[in-house]
Amino acid sequence: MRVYLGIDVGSVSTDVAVIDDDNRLVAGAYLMTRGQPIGAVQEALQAVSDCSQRGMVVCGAGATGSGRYLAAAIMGADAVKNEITAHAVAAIDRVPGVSTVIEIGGQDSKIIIIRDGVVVDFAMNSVCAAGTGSFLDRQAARLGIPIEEFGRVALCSSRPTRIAGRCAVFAESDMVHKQQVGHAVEDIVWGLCQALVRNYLSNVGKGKDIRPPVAFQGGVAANAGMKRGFEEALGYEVVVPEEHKLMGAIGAAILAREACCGKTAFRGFGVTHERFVSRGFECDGCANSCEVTEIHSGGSTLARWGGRCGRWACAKPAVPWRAGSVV
Amino acid sequence: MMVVGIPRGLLFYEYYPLWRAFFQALGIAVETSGPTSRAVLDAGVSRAVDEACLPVKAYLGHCLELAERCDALFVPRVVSVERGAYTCPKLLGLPEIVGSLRTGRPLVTPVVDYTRGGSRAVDAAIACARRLGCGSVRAAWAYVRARLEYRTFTESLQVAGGWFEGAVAGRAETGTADRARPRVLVLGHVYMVNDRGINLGIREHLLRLGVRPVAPQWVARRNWTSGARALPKKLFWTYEKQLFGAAKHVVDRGECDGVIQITSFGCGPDSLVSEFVRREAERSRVPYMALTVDEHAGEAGAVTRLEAFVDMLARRLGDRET
Repeated sequence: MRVYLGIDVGSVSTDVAVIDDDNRLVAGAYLMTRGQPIGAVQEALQAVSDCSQRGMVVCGAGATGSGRYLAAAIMGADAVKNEITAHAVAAIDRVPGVSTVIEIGGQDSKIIIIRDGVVVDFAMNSVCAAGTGSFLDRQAARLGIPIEEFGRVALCSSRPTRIAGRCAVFAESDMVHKQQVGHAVEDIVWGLCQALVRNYLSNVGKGKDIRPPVAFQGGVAANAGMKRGFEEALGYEVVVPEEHKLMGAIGAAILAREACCGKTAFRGFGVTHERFVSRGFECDGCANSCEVTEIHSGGSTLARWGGRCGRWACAKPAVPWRAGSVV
Repeated sequence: MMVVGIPRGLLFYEYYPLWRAFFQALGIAVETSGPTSRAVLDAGVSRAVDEACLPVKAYLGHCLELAERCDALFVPRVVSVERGAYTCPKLLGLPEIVGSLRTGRPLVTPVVDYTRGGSRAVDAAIACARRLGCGSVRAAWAYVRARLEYRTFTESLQVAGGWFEGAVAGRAETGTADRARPRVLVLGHVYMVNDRGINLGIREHLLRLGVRPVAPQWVARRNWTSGARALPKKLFWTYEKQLFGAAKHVVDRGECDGVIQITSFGCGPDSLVSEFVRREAERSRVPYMALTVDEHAGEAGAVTRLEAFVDMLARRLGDRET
């Protein structure tokens, strides 16, 4: 069977998806990046490597997320695409007639406006991470609630506490204050979800034409409290796709299927046992002091990026300079 | 021979060919700072007040770098370039801002102010030349020569569709003529659009992504002034009027498939006008994206947005053809 592999290397989580010719998911995994993107890519590939034993042939591979260039360098990829396009492609495939995509990940959140199956507008949070997954993680830990329970706790509340959600720092001190004066934990949690929804809609969603059907994806979509918050604020149902955690990877896999023509650049599951070494250095060639990063395996340099000029250009693969906050 | 240093920042990208020709005609050597590098930015950021915008911070870095290599720094005070409108407040106070650096070099600060029929450019040029020990008649002649040179520069931008560096070097632009490629208007102040050290390399990224970038400076004055008439109220700032008018002109005539506005985080006038531009683009159903940069801006985030924007354009154009 011909299959296509997609990987989404984010700041907090890494997910991988294997799809068939009809875009159906045949294997997938979701794990934490833990600041070790190389290890995360290898671990993710390991998690789906039994595909080859099950008679599947990987005919194309795609990478997305902030670590996409790194992932592409390690495993070889036919499509290297930004996460906005990848999430949009996956949503169009999974949610019939989707008009709006709300995606909240570990460190960023985005909105994608789709009309007639084509992206017409999008936005990403700029410098503020209030309301993203890592902030929720932190608050859950502070309140002593496992993150998986966070949404369920929020749903128990009927009297939400008003929390200032404009800024993560202020939200936290506001929550501490509300705890001190004696509000119930579930009311604070539900109030926080509402505050984050308000913040999202007025920050990322500012000026955007949000219409149903709305797809809510990314790691935070697992939080039932956030889903309820969006539904109350928007006034209609919000769809959380079954594979919401893997949507980025599914999008990358679909893009790989579309991009692939003949031979794939995928290097095979053997890369999970290869030893990759990455290092970063500051170039002293000129006053720009570019931060250059390179990846080695078995004595050869696989990829190098970060320089503005051609000095550190690497013959293969074509990785755009200053490509990203990887490693 | 005396050497006048012209920092590579702010209105440098608007008037450098004029200034260079003027000083050369007077027999005064001109030195400029190099392209904006990390070192220049870091030096400027560390000496500027927090509230200043990134281009002003970079400008200070350029002054510091250049002070070593010249006898005087050329820091004009451009208050107004037309009646009834001003430039931005930071340009008005530029000599004082630079003065706070105490570079040890004297500043040459001609004042250009067209409000209430004040100091015109030619008066400013003559005053500047006298300060450097040249006579009025020679200065007037040098100014006329410089204007001619400057016209060649603006024509090579507007007629030939060139960009600053190419036009200054007198080089013909080698842009792609591939009509199938999407055109994106890279809207922003001259010192944003043309300074690679500040704009995160937006033009290079767009070229790499197969896009034909369009410059607001290609729009002739009469066209942007007529475009700016669409605003509900007269704007106070000439360069903002130019940005809005140019965007309106290009969008109305269908000469671009998308608009990317690059603004500096601290720019007050831009924060107002970008909203007008966004509405204008929306009205004409042209995709619009704003990119805001400051000294903390990462290229990675910008690249992700640019790639997504170009993907979006490609899908739209593909749909239109089928």
